[in-house]
Amino acid sequence: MSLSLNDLQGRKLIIFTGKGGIGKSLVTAALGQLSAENGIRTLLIERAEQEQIAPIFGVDAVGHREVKLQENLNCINLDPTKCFEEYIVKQLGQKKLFEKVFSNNVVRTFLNTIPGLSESMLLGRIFYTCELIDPSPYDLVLFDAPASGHMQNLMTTLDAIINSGLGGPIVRELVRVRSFLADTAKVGAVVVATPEDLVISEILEFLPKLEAESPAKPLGVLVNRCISQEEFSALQGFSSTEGGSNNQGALSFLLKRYEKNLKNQKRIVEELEHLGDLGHSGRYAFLPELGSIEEPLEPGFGQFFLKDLLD
Amino acid sequence: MVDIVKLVDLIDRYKVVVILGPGGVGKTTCSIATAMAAARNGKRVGLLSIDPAKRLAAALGLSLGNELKEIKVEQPDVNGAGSIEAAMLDQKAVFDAMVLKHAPTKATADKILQHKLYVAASSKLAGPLEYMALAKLYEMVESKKYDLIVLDTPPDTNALDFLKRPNLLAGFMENKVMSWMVKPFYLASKLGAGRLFSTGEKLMGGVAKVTGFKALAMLAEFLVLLQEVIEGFHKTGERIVTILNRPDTGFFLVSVPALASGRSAKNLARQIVNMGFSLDLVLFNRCLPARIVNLLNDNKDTSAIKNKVQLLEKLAKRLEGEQSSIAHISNSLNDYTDRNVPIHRIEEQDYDLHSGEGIYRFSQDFETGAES
Repeated sequence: MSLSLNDLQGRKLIIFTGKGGIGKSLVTAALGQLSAENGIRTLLIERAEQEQIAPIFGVDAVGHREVKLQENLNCINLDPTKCFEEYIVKQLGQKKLFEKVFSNNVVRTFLNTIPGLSESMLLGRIFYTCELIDPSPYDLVLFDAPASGHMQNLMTTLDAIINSGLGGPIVRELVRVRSFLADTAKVGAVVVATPEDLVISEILEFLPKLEAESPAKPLGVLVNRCISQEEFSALQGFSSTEGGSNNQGALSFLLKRYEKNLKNQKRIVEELEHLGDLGHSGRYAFLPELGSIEEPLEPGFGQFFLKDLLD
Repeated sequence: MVDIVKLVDLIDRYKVVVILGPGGVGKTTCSIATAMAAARNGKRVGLLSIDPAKRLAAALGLSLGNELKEIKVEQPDVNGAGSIEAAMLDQKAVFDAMVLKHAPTKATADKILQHKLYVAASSKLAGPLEYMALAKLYEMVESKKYDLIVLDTPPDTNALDFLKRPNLLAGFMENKVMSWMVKPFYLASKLGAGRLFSTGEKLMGGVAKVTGFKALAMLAEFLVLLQEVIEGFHKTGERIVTILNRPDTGFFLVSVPALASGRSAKNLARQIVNMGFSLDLVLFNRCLPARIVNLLNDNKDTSAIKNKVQLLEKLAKRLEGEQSSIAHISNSLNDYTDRNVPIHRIEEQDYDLHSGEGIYRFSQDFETGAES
C-alpha cells in the first residue's frame, strides 16, 4: 500500500531513520518545508555533532535552541546534557538542586559514564515538546533520527532501563515517554531507503525488528533516488543517437545502473506488499533522483520532491 | 600543493590505520580494501570492524564473529606471505570477556554477568561498543601478530565518541568518582537512608532526589561490584591513547563528494586534528568515473539534450556538486592543519562490490585510484 502525506501529517511525531548517507535529513527537511507551507506549525529536531538540517535552509547551525527557519518552521539540534538540565530545572522545578548537585564536575563525570542516560534524556525532551507544553506550539514534530543500527539502540534503551529494576522518578518518567512513543495514533517511524541491493536487504531485516522491539512503530518506507521509466527511455534513445556514439562505454555503464534502479523499485514494491500481507507495516512511496540539491531549498521544493505522497 | 602519494606506500608507513567517516560512504568497504592492498604486499593484516548493521560482511560471504579469523583472499598476484585475519565485534561477547579478565574473583564475575543492570547495559544500550572496540584493538596490538591493523569505526559522531571514550573513563578515575562519591554513598545506603555525611555522599543524596534513593543505591552497588573491571578498562584506555598517538598510527577519512556527507567529513577532519591526532589521508569514494565525465563534457553545449535527457542533466549537476565538495574540503584542510593531507579519489564502479570477487577488484582499483 502506498504511504500518504496524511499518514505523516496526521500524527504528532514522525521519526526518520534508515541507512547512513541516503538522504534522511533531506527528506525530513522537505516534509518540514511542505508542512510549513501548508500552514502546519512544524518543528524539526536533530541530534548531531554536525548539523545537517539547518544548512539545508541556509542557516549554519541552530544548536540547542528553537530557531525559526521560515514561517511555521522551527529547528533545534538537541544536546542531551542540556535536555537533562531542562528536565530537572523546568519539569521538576529544581533549579537549586541542579546548581548545587548536577553542575558539580564529579557528578557530571559520574552521569556521563552511565550508558543510556543521554538517549533517555533526548527522548524525554522530545516527549516534553510534543505532549507537555500547553498549549502546544507545534502541530507536527519531525525527528531526523540516527541511522538504523543506532536507531534500534536508541529505541530499545527505554525498555532496557525500565526493565533493569532501577525504579524511581526517572524510570517512572521514562514509562510515560515510552507509552507516548508507543501510541501509534500519535507517533510513527519512517524508514528512508534507496533502490540498491544492500539497502533493500537491510530494510527487510530492519523493519520487522524495529516493529518488534521499538515502542515507536514503523509506518512505512520512503524510497529515495528513484529514476522514472521516461527518464530511462530518454537516455536509451540518446545512446542510439550521434551524441552517444563516442561514449558507448559510459552510456552502457549508466544504462546498466539505471536499469537496476528500476528493477529494484519493483522489487521493493513486491517485498513490501509481501510484508504488508503478513500484517507488517509495508507502506511505501517513491522520491525522485535529483543529482544534487541547491541550498537553501527553493520554496515549493518539498511539494515537488514529495509529490508521490500527495497522490 | 598536495603530494602525489602511492596508496600502498602510504599504508606502508603505518602499523595501525583508523578509518573514519560519515555514515554510508563505504567505510567498511574501504577498510577491507586497505587490508587487501596491504596483504597483497605481503603483510599480515588484522581487520577489526564494528559495522552495527553487519550487512556488508554477510554480503561478502564472510561470516565474521567476535574472534579473529583468517579470511581467504583470492589474490593471484600475491607474493605469498600476506594474510588477513578479521573480526566483527559482538558487543556483549567482548564485554563478557573483559569482565572475566578483570573481575577479582570468578564469583564476582558471575555476580556481574547475572546482574540485571549488566544484562541491560551489555547488550541493549548504545555506547559500550566503543569501549569494546578499543579493548579489542589493544589486544590485537599486544599480540604482535600483525604488521598492520585496520580499524573500521562506527559512523560520524559515534566515531568521535569512540575516540573520546578513553578520556571519559580517565575523568571518571581522576575525579575519584568511585572512592569519593559512589562507594561512600553505597556504604551509607546499606546503613539506611538519611545518614549522608561527607560532601560526596551529600551530592549523591542530591542525585537521588531525581533518580530515587533505591535506584541510585542499586546503581552504586553495581558500580562497586564493577570497580576492578572499570579500572581494567581504564588502564586499557590509557594504553590505547598512547597507541593512537603514535606516529605509526594513521587516520584515514572516507567521504563521498556530496553536500551532506562533505559537511560531516569536514567536521570530522577538524575534530580529528583538534583531538591531537594526525589526519593522513582523505578518500573520496564513489566519484563519477572519468568516462562519464567525458560523456558529460562532450555533450555540455547540446541544448537539445538538456531538456530531453534529464538523467544526463542530473549527472551534470552531480558532477558540479562533486567538484565543489572536493575543493571545499581541500581548502578547509589547509585551515585545520599545516601538513599536506593527500586526497585520493576512488571512482564509482560498475561491478557488484558485495561479493568476494567484487571487493577484490575494488581493492585493486582502490589502490590505483585517481590521485589529486
